[in-house]
Amino acid sequence: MKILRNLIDKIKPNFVKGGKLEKWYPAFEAMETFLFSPGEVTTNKVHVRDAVDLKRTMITVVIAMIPTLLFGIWNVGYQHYLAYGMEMTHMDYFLFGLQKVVPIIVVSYSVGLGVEFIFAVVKGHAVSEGYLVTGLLIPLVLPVTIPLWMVALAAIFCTLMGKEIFGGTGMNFMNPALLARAFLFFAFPAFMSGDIWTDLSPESGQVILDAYSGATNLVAYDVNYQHIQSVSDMFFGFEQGSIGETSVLACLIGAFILVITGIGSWKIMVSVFAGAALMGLFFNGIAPVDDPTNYMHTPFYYHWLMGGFAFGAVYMATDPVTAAHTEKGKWVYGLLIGGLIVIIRAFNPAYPEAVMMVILLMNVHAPLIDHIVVQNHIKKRLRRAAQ
Amino acid sequence: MRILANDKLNIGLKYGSNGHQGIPLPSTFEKYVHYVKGPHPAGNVGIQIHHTSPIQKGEVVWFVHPQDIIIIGRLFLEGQYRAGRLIAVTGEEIDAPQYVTAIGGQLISDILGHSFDTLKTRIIQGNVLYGTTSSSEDFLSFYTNHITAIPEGHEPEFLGWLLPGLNKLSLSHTFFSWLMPNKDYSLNTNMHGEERAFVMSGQYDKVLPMDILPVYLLKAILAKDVEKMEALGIYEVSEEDFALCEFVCTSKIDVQQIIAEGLELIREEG
Amino acid sequence: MSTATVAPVKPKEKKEGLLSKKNRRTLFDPLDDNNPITVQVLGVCSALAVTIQVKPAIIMALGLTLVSAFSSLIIALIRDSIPGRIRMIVQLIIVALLVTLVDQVLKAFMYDVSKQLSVFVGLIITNCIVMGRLEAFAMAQKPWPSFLDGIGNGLGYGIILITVAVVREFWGAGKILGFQIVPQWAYDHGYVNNGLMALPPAALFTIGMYIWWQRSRKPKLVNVS
Repeated sequence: MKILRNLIDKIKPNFVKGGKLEKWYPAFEAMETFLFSPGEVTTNKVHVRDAVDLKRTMITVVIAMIPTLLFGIWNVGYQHYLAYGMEMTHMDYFLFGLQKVVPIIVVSYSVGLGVEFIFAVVKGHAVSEGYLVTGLLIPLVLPVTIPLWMVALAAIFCTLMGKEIFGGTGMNFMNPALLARAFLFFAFPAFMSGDIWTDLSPESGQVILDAYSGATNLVAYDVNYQHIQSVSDMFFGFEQGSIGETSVLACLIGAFILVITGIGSWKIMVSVFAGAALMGLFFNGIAPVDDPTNYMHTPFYYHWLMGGFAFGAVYMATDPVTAAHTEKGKWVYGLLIGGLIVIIRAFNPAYPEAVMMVILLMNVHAPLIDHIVVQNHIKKRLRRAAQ
Repeated sequence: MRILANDKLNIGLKYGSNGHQGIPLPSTFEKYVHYVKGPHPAGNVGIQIHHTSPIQKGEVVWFVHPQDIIIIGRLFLEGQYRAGRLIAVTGEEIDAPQYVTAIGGQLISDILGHSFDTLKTRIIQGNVLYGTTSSSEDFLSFYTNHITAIPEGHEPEFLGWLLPGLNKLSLSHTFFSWLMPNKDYSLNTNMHGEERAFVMSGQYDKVLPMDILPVYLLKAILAKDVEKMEALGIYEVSEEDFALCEFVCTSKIDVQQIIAEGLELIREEG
Repeated sequence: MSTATVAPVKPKEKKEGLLSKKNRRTLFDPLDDNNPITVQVLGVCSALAVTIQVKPAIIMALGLTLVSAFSSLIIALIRDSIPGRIRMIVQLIIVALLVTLVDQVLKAFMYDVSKQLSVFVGLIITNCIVMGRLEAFAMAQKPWPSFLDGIGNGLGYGIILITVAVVREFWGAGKILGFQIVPQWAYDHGYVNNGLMALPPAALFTIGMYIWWQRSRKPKLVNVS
């Protein structure tokens, strides 16, 4: 550790102003602060600072995602062997998943961070930590069969169009990871929907079971909502879907970590779930009685369990940059997300997975919600001043 | 006092106390008294003004610290100007934290007994949240009631963002130290990170007990939008009210600096 | 559509060369510094619609350049005799005349392209660039500078149109002007055309990227529109 420090101190003069590698300072700085929390001291009136910084915040979010990641890896293997009707140990499931998922993560991180480093060097600003989270979110919301070059393309796209074009982390108005998924969804629809949720790489001497169907619960739901998997399967995540989205339980563990550390807004999480429940109950109330398979009859907790709802509510909607910033605005924002998801699921059978688009839509509208809250605040102030 | 203030006097007292230092207040003052309770920054002048009678545009509020009232009182009662005041000397670098009596203008090293190395120790006139940096050779300011000496935090820390952080003070619960609420922390002047854009939301609101939207006010100041600043209540705030915001800020933004700029701008604009 | 009214200013009575410095600026400014799409933000609607392939984009750009050049010329010629109240109607009649000409020519000689451009040729009439330049420039300037301004703006529009179309056709179909650019072996190795590029939003963010690039080259353009 001491040696490392000395090494850094030795090469540092090359990078500071006037050094020969001055242009590369942001890249160097990112590496240095990655290894060592900087020894900067306060210069202003506040002499002590809270120990938390953006790196710490981001790494906490990454830790909160680990349950979904681990379960996702296991589930990739489980679904694979299930399709072939093979009984294997948990270790086998996990190892199979590992060799499928790790390359996606590696590509996502290396390409996205590469773009960030290039921009940092060209524009001379510090490398931001935002991609630590985005880089892991992207693999978690993709199907495991996605070709790696598409992951790379999506990472480039979301870093460029989602962040750098607006000035970097903190300036973007749409969640970069969801943008990456939306990009792939529209650019390569054949790889983002259909029979792609389970890795079907051939197993020697085995054939895919006749009973195997590549459809997720949302597809089954489109046909008839009563024909989806059991509630407990969906809760624990023994279903097909994007790598990290299947297990509601894992998402809840993540949610627990985010809420207890104070990083994710519990208001948003609660209100997204509440919004879906309210809208679901409302639909139950107005559903046509003579048509028992109508989507509107779906119990509201099915919406909580299906597809990427929990994942979106916990990890995507709570992104502090793109969510509503005001405390009152967060309630409105979350309720609208939950409600809209249910509306689209019920009324647009051609496009059942509404979570991604709804969150992006509300990302765009979050500043509007905030604006209204701020205007109300100003009006209230004026009223008080008038008294 | 009442005559000076033209009958618009307000007195802030700690909740549950009755009068200052055991001296009961005359009953005629009863109607002016407001009792304040709660953790910092409940004692801040700005916060108290906000909750008793918020400042409007063009208004001026004068405030007097109790210690200064005593000095003024002595001046009238005894006909003497005795500027001696109680000063709290605290901080990790002080061997024996105590109250001392001192006079404005005294050499700091005299008060502290010996001088400190400015590279290793930071002497602050005032507290750690909104005091001014000083040094042993400096003189006691007229407004100082409190001297703090804490270690400078020049030491880089290996993988500081990843370790559990059992000895780090943080309002967020991202370090495991939050599981030990009564722990004493060794604080130094390290920044614990680099400046970033606004990312986390709702952080400031938690530590600012005012009916103000801090982030929007700060953004209005950064955009130099005077009208918006007025609408969001710039007149009611002062720098030290935002000290805790600056302390908790994940993005390490110099909140007080921005507020000071905003107040400056407002003064220029009239 | 710009409705800014510019009071007719008496042009200075001084002989200028056909390509004097000022005239050259009139011609070339709209190509970049004063580009109708990225700086004036006019005519974005058709830029979203006709940029899936390069060929129709070129035809569209040519059509618009012709219309805007000649309508500017004609309006500038008769600008002093147009009653102020009905100037819009006069402008529209002239533009409509030219657009109909272009449309008929396309239908006669390039029927398939004309079908692809469909309604958008007709919509040149309402294209903000044409009307905007007539109002902002031709109504107050001599015929020759007006003609150059029309050409310049048409070409400025064309540059964006073709750039966007090249990007979109390359990514969306692997072709440029109908020629296969992405080799077959790439497809054999799993390359797939990008379906997003065939959708109108792609044009929107391609223009966005162009604006980003343009603004970072020329910081003076930041916040002008």
